[in-house]
Amino acid sequence: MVQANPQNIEDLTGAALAELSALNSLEALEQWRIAYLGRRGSLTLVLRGLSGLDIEERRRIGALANQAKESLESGLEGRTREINEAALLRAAQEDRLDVTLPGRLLSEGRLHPTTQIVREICAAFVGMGFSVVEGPEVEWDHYNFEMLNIPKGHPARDMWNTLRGLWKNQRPPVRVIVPGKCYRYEATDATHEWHFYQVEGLAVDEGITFANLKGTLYEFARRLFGEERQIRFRCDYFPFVEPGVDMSIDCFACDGHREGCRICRDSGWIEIMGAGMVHPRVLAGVGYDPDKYTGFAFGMGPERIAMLKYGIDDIRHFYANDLRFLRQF
Amino acid sequence: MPTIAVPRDALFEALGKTYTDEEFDELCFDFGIELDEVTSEKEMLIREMGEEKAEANDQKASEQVIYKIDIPANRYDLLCMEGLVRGLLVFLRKIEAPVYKAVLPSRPHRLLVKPATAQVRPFVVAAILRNIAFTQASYNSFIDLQDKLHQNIGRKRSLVAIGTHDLDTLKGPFTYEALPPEQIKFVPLNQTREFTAVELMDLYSKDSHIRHYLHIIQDKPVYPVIYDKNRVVLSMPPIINGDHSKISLSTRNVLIECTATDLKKAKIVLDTLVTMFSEYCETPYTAECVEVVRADGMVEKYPELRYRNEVVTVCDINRGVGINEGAESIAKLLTKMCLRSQVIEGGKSIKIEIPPTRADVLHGCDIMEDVAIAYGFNNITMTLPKTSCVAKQLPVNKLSDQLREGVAQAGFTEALTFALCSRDDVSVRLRKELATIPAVHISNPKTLEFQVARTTLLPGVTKDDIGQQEHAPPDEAV
Repeated sequence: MVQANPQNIEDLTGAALAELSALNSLEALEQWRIAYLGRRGSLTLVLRGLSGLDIEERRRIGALANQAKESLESGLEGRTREINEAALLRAAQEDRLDVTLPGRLLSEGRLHPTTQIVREICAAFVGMGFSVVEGPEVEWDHYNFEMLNIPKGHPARDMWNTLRGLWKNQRPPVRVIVPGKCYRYEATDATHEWHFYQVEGLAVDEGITFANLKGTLYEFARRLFGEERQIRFRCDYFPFVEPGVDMSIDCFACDGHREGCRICRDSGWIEIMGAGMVHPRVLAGVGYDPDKYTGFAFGMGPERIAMLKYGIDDIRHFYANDLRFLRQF
Repeated sequence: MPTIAVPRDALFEALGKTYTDEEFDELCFDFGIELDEVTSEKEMLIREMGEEKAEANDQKASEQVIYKIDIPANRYDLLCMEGLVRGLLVFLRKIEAPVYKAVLPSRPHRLLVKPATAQVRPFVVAAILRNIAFTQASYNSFIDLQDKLHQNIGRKRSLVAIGTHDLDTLKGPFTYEALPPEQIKFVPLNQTREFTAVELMDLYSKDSHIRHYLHIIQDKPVYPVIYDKNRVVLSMPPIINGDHSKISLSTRNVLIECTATDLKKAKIVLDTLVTMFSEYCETPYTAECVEVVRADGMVEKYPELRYRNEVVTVCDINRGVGINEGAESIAKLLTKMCLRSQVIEGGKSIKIEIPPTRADVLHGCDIMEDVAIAYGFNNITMTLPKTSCVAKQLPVNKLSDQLREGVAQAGFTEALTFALCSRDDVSVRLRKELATIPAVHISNPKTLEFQVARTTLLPGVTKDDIGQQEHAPPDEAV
């Protein structure tokens, strides 16, 4: 134990302060504090030694010791501040903010182009009073074909997918739009995929006419492809509708200039969907009185619509899951 | 939708008018068919075999312009140039639709059906085209039409198969039989020696065209075969005809037989061939009947060439199409479509005669369609339905939409994956045993990539080579 006399206290203080001024890190300062002011620190021990002195001595030397403690503590505080300030200054100089640096990229989320286009299609029809419903993934042969007036062995079994849905439970007026996945036994190429989406729609009520079909699909075409779009119909054959038609819009890519247009192949028109008046036998098949009710149905491939709208040249991109593709939409 | 290829110049000659491509396109459009492509035999050849080989074949391929025209799948009467020209001329009101007749001679040819055919291909119908004069073009068209009918309504010969024969090389009566394959022996078309049916099945198993039809009878205990009085084989349907009775450009009398598993379709096929090609007979649009003696002894006469009448009210037509036309005008429109019509009941209804060429007209709505075509789909005024409906989304769709939206906002890119994947995708690659996965297996997968219905969604994403990037799980919960 260091004896508590004035000389010792002065020596200790002088040595401690000299040592302090040479320290340059906060860790070193902490070591220093423990060495002098900690529970077993040199100065702490001196202070403890005071208890063995008589009252006069204790008062005199105690005052000196307390002064020494204060001077060490304020020295530590000052040195700590100096080191912190130096560090801050160094940081400010070394880590200067460069506002010209490029920003860090955040990953952006995207919805699949098919999802986007299906939504856009559905929204257009919802605006005209069509409810969005979804059928089951797999249908009984009965619903898919027999009920749609396609007997076994009919060539048109290959042609169009179906108006699936909730026929049985709904009474007219019916106006539904059905998005869903379809599968077709088909070789794949740039315009054919075995697995694809389809959006099909149906309106049944008293007094629904072909003119209604035209009016509804015209509004739809304008919503998706622009107010100025024109449409035209050509007869086509689907066994569950009669008359059956396919609908084309005038080419938005070349605006009728045709020559060398990749989108409409110089024809000025782009086919976008099949449609028709629901065959009376189909209506009767689901229990609607064909003398009272008439209806129209239509179906389209959202991938095809997306390909047209966004200029995508190969349907196989849709399921290749290449982020470079998906992130463009 | 079937496509037919017709030489442009011959077509225009038959139509009596020359059109520009645009004008003809317009005409097709109005008539409800589509001019799909303007090409030439040479171009088609180049596309098929590549430029060099096509050059080598130069002699054969001509540069004559060919129109490829899309025909609605149920218009069997437009599947050859003869029918197309006739339909267009009637549509343009340049001719009236011909009246087709089946004549029964005093001693008609007979075709006797043996009971055994019921085991394999029960029906047969037949007709004769007398004193026909083929040209190379009409002969080719005759062959093409048979092929088109085989593929479409005949469902690749499974429902109906056609055989055409030079009647003058044969002697009736004919028999339609079904025999064990080893008992059938004849010289097939374009071969020089006899083969048994067993040998033929082997011979054609390597034939790129015929092998697709073998399965129709392959496993049957008996094969269908048609003989003449002298046991000359006419054909072994639906595989091949005999060489003996093959037709040529100089054939004058053609026996057409159609064997079938579907009698109704066989009749349509026979009527179609007869109505289209009787045009070249000495008495045009007339065919000679053949009596088919069924196994039960009933005698039927073919071709039927049946005309029937339908009555449709003017009101129904106007209501369905959404137009407001008078009875006379509607009758005129229908007549343009080869449906001869007359106004009855003081203008309230229309009586329509359905000719044998229009097998597609079965129902009042089929007639409505022809009114709509002749009126012009594009001339119908557009309206919106009068009733209104309140639209809503199914809750599950709404939820899935919201989920997608939220996940995408959190920085994930949505990906959609195929519903099928490989067995390894759901097992080995996920460190699981295939036996423990309750996957639905495809019994005849076409590729190794698509063997099972997916049991989980992520394998479809991870197998693409973009592994380290972020993705949303595909949207569909299975």
